[in-house]
Amino acid sequence: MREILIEAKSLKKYFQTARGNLHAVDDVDLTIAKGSTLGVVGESGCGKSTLGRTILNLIPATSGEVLFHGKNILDPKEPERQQMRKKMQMIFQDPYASLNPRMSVSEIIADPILVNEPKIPRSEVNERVEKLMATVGLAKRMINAYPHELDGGRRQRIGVARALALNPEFIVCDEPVSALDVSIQAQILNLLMDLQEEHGYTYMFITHDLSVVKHISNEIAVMYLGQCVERAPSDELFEHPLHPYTKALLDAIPVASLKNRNKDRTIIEGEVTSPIDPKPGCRFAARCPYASGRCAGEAIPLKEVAPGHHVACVLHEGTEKEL
Amino acid sequence: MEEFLTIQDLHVSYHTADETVYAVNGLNLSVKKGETLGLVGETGAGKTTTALSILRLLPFKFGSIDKGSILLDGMDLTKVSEKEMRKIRGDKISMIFQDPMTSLNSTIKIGKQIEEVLKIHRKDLGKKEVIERVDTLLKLVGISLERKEDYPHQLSGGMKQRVVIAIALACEPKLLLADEPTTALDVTIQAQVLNMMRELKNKLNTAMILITHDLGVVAENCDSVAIMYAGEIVESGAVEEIFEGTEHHPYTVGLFGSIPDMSKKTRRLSPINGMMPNPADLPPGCPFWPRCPKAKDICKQQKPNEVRQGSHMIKCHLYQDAKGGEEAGK
Amino acid sequence: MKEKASKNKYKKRSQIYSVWLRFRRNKMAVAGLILLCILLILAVCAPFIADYEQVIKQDLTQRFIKPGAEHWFGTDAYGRDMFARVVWGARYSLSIGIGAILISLTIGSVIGSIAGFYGGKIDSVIMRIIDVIMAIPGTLMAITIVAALGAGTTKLLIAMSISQIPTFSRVVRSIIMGIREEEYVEAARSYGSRDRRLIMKQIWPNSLGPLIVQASLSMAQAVLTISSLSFIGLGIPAPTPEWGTILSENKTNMRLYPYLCTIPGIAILLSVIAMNLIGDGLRDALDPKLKN
Repeated sequence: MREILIEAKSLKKYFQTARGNLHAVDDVDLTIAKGSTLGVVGESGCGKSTLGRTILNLIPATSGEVLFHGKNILDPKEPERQQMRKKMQMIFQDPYASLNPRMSVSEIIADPILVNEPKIPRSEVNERVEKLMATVGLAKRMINAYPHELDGGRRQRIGVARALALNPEFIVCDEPVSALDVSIQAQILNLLMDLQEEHGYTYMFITHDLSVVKHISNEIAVMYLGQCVERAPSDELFEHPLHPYTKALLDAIPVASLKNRNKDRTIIEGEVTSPIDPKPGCRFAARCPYASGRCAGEAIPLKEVAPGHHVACVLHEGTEKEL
Repeated sequence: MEEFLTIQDLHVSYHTADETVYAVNGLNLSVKKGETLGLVGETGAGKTTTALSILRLLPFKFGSIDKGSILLDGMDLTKVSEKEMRKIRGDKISMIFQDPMTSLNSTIKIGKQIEEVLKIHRKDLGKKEVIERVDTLLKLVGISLERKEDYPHQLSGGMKQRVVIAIALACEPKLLLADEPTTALDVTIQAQVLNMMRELKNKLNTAMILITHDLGVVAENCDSVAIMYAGEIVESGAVEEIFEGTEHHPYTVGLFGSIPDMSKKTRRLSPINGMMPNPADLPPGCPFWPRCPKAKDICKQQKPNEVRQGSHMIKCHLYQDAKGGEEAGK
Repeated sequence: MKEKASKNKYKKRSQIYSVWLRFRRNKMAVAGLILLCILLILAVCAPFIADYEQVIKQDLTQRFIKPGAEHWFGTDAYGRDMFARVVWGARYSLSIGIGAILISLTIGSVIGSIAGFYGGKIDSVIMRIIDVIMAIPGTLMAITIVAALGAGTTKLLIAMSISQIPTFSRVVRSIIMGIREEEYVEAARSYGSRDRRLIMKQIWPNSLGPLIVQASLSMAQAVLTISSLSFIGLGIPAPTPEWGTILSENKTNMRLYPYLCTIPGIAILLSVIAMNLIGDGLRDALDPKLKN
């Protein structure tokens, strides 16, 4: 087992709303090994973006710990917190909204360096910016362009370069390709994978698209209404999905092949229920075709049912004994 | 089956103060009765422009149909008067837009919004009949009747798109234009909506043009496919020919290479290099050559012709020599 | 050599230049700009065009001369040259207008930035105070302040500034609140930018556009208010040639000598139109997302 770089322990983030507490992230545990990728998958409103932001301490957590190299970065008393935080960066979803329209490409990429290492001479900053641009495949002639003059793919490359500017170890990628065209999506995904191979970055890859996450992730966590319902190594999850929600999610992806054309698919009915003060028990039960009385009442914890394969579902509670 | 909609050599451009954007350049397309055509392409390929041209809803002043014909059941839509066109829209042809939030009026109850269309196009219907029809439509798209009195903001995204579909189907159109109808929805909801659309289409025998960038959606819903690039159809054919055939336009190959294949274990994707050309400044010759791995000299100078083999059409120089002569000989 | 040449090719095109390129395309806005420039040049050059002496010196032998070659705009009831008075009036009206906007813009921006950026309790307190002030109409507010302080150029400037501060605070606050939620601000926060840098580098440059537009539109309003106050005798006192004052002095003779009121009236009208046209032009030109 590789060294664990980042670990979240019973992380919670509740937002207070007029109608009660919105459980955006509810008691999530996760670990990511150094140099690997954890894919976080879920539909809109499942709390996956909030999870990423809470781990980076961009949003203060309600409770829980985030350990980076074994140190809790959420603890304001942690002396190395600032240093640690520099090693954790983020790539944002919308390449249009995440770049300041009044700053040029070089200014955008240089800003993290200027903020964190203000004493570095200007010439060295420029050098680093040029190097970063080359790394992400941006031509040198764009150095003084403004974001709105570039297309989505190039803009996202700027976003990647900015995240890499401080030589991070851990990068949260929040839907980095969902705003891009398919052919450009593949370019960015390949870039992220190349960078990982070369520099050993650790990714948390947040997406709503299971097909995107399969290629890039070592492990995948499926989220539903703030909770992680299943977590397994990528291949294992695609081959043996256990949680009914994961199955439904996999089934719902339109596949670009005619083999499944007339296959009967299990389409789950209904829509996501409210994340405000949810009742204890399985949150998916309302839409679940296998729901029974056992699903309500008490919280259903994640259980390891096969090596590395965790699932929170009453259907699979007993399986560990059989194994 | 007869051709229901035939578009021939359509050219559409947008004019701004300092440039002319050539959005559609010589597009040929045909849809049969009851058939679903998947129109696939990336942002800026001219998919939506094509749909808006059929409805003659191009932005006033900026957009114009420069050339070509759009024949709907033998009637050339580029030539009919605006008054007639207004009767056709929403009645014979209707459109479903990508974003259900913007295509519904947020101050009118959903039941009333469906009634509205019927009142415009079905003047022969009495008040009672209109209400009956609204109820049938709601049942058809899977919305319970109690929600008739709801305002759009009280519905979720998937429900709103169902209402939009109900409005589009209100007058039993002969042709439905669906512009990325499920892109704004979550996958599980997308599956629900697509399933419903498929069932409805079979029931009503409507022809449909499904505009999408998602080849998966096409595979599961369409009878024929047209791949669009820079305002042209570069390849078209029956769904089997596109998904299982061996001969393809290099752009089609690139598109398929770009989607992560769930059944394979390869980590690397094979994307298309570069990006869409600027439609205001298209390269000479084949618009795809700057990105094409198989580009030859001729591609840079001359536009390829359409090479047809049965229902399969490819517009590429690669197939020109081999079959061009053969075609000519026939 | 070649390296150097190619470097120049990537030279940054300044944003101000591209704003100008877009502004230039709006003919009405350019017309407004030219108009305002003429008025400003006249105001600045007023001492060279006419002696101040000429502006206030009464000469009863020269009363009510119709506009002509000698007196372009004619003379008023006291035999003063109307052209000289209107030109000098531009100096007063425009300078107080611009001055008041600059002062209220600065103070309002600081208040609005604090309220908008920090939000929460600070915001609530500031905004409630502003709400109370806003409940009094701007002109009435200025009248009250002038009435309390007494008439005079400086006092009018103070009154005008105070009455505009709430508007600017509100505008700045809402602009900043919008930008604060932008993803690029979050991105800057994610790599450790501190509040001050966030405001200076990320938020301010983006709020400038809408703010300049608001300022140019408010300026037109301010010029109107100044003239109105002077007209009712609460602004600049009589002999000093402010457009409103000139109107007021001549109102009794308006029937017989209409040019006496039309000319200063047109001056006010032109400057207000010019500022509004510029404001509208800037609104479009300052949006960085619009292509050239």
